[in-house]
Amino acid sequence: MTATLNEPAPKPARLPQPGVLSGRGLSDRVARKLVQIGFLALFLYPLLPIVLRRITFQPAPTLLSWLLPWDPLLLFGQLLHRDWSVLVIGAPLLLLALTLIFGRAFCGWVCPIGAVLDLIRPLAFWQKGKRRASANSPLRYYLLIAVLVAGVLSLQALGLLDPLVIFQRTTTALMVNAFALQQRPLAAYLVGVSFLFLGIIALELWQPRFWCRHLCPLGALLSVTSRWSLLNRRVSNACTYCGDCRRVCPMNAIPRREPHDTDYTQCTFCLVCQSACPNSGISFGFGLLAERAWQRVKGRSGRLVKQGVGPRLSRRQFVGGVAAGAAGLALVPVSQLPPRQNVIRPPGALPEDEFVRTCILCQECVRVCPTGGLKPTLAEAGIAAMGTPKLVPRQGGCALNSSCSHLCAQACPVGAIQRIQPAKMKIGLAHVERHLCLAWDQEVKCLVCVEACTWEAALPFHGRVTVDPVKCVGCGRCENACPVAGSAIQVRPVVQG
Amino acid sequence: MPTVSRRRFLKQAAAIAAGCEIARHIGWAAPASAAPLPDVAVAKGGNEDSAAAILKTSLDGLGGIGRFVKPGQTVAIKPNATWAYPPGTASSTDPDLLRALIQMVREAGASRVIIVDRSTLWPTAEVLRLSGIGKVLDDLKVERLIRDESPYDSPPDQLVTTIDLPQGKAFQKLAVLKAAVEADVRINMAVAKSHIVTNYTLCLKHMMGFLAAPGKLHPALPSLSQAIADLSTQSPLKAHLHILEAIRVRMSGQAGGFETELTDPRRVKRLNQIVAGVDPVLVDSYALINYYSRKPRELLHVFLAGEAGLGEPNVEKATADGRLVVYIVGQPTRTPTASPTATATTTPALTATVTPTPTPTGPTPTPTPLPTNTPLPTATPEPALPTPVVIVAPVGSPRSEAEVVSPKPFLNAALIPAAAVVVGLGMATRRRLGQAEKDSQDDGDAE
Repeated sequence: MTATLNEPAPKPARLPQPGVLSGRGLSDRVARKLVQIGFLALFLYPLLPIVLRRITFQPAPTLLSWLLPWDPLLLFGQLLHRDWSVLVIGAPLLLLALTLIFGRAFCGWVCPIGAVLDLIRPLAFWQKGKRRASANSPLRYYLLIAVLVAGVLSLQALGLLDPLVIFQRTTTALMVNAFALQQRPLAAYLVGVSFLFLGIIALELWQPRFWCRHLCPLGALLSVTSRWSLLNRRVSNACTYCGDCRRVCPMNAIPRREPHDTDYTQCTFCLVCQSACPNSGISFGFGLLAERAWQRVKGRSGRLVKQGVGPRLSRRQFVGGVAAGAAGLALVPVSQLPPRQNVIRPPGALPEDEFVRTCILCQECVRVCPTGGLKPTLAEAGIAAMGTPKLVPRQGGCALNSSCSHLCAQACPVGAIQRIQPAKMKIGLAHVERHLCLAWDQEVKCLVCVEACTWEAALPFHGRVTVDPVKCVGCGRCENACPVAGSAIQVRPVVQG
Repeated sequence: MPTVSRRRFLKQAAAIAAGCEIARHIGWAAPASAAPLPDVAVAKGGNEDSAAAILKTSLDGLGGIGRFVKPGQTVAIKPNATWAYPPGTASSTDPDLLRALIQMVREAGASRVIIVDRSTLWPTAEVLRLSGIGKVLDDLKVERLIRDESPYDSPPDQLVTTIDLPQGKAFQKLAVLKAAVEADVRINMAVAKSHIVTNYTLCLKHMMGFLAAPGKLHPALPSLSQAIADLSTQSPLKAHLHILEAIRVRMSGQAGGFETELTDPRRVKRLNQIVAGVDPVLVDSYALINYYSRKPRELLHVFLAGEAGLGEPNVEKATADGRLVVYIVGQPTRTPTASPTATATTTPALTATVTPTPTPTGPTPTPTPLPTNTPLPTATPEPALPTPVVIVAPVGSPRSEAEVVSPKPFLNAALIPAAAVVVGLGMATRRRLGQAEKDSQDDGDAE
């Protein structure tokens, strides 16, 4: 026993490779895949009506997201905005409370990004049998703090980096574009919306769970409470310090030289180490608080492992981080470029500046809009507003007050679109282009816009059409119905103060 | 002096008598013994009368539904399913009335009933749900062809056919719904409403709902009224029965809204009347005079239709002739003495479908030039977007997306991934429990 302590066991040439359909841990692997794919399917489920509608041409119900209401990071972001009402929503708090019992099991079993990363990991065939996870860094804590600090000013940064929002945004953009809406510069839009997701996948092909270990602000938030988790990992006396568990751990949660210890701020309870242990010395179970177990083991081994912080940043990493931060600062004036044009926001949207600050670009409103009139902006409303929703009346007018129960406001997870009375809606003002209008220019008895108007704002006047600026709310039904190519009646946004 | 022998006199007399008898039977001479059935029957009821009773009174006055619908025929009914407002607002066809008509048509032996509309400005699912028509169609399990494209687009090619209008003045070819033309009987169920462009929506204007893209009539023709009048000329599209619902009449403003006769009595009036007939011009003229206090010639398309000889715009004359009869609900209507088959051949509206449309070889008036920047209304239907072949079915599209559909059956399928989660968690937990047992056993062995 002492010999093994002093002389580390010779490293095996390759990592223990469990067989695909055999070997120890098969049922664990199957169980984890079942849970992960099941949750992934559940989170993708609200997107299914779009597909069904396009394939079967039958009406299908509209479902709101099942993922975003559980996001603790969004909850904190809104709390920083002094929006205390979100405390009533118990789901994120429940998730945090469950962290006290199950640790970061959310990241290993539930998180859709984690599931995607685990599913694509076998694709990185060149990494097979090599040392994978590099040392962890505290970068994600800095990122969490930075995101929350930025969240005081603007929720947008938080939404940009929140993994659940990234997943929601990317999948919605892919599904909706493939099946429902024809966004004109499609490639630009798709890349603009999903570049973070693609970046996460590229990092995964470099190192396992790189995003989760180094960058994920949600994981950092869960780490804060998961050090007191009741679920913990036990290593029996059968341990020979062979180091296999440390090498297979995708989260690098087992410290070097002391496999009895566990970094519970990283461990996702994926159970890989249990099946990798050649002596069956590892088990998982509920017991003492993870924090206390760790302290006991620490005392016995006489070694101090900085828990929850992990290894320090290397100088190169630090310089790189500073450089990246400086580059990010350089982007700030770009994001402040004046918008080229105002856009029509959905009804009930906050005032423009506040809206752009609050919107997390999750694309939920774009997905649920019953007429398909809501579309994400590209850069026309300013770089900072990229991805925020706008109404494109030519694609579909706003059906609030007639057939829509304000679905976009119901869907918005951060309250950037507030529910309003339809009578208070005022998102734009229709304007008749008289040189295009058939009634004005060619004296044709058209007046289709008058027929389409539900607000009695477009009125016939001696065979021509006029718009009552008081009654017009800018819903865009007239522009949607106009038979002239390019529409002779156009809605212009109302600039809010 | 020529003389007639007795034998010859008897022979000639017998021949003349036989000829008169034959002529009377095949309808050459005036049917003196059978009073003619009216062209238009007006039924007046009270608030206590149901829509079905008023409809039955008017159709009985016309000679019963059997005059129009024969056993085994296909019947296309075009209700007004255009505006998503609840019943009682005179925005769409009264659902009770539609239910009664469908039941009567089925009792008359129609083999197939199909509801056609092509003019909805609103998401169809919303219209059907709010107006109550969808429930009727679901209850009675009626086929429907109510597409969700806006009226300014054409439905897919397989739903559209092009017909000839040899007497048309504004155009001679027209893209219409194939299902409407292929039906044996077309029933046009209009609601007496105001309209923002043509002032009033009556039977003539309501025929636009059979077109493939009715919205294109609005801008593309200099005279929308002439186009509307052309719809009722001799053609495969001509309707056999026009029913103008005046149970509630919308007097002014938009053709749909939330007002009822209680909330806005100036805009919606409750009259409890139904005008049914084979002559749309006479129906519209009667409605204009009696409901809107207008002269028939004040409404341009009624005037043009009357000028073209498509019907009788003179209500007084028609009333004096017995072509327009008013009945009171509850009072016995005259039982038709002539058999329906005999009158059917004399009714001009019915001959239109018996004989196929003649080819437009005769001298036809030149169509008026069209504006250049508008789509041609009557040419071959535009190539529609690739759409799956759904001939006659309730068709949904992204436009009709709203929470109309109950998500409950849809959510049941979510149990599949949820079950995967539960099974996976169960497997993991079971293994942990087995491990714990084994550990405790090992501990016991060690001790």
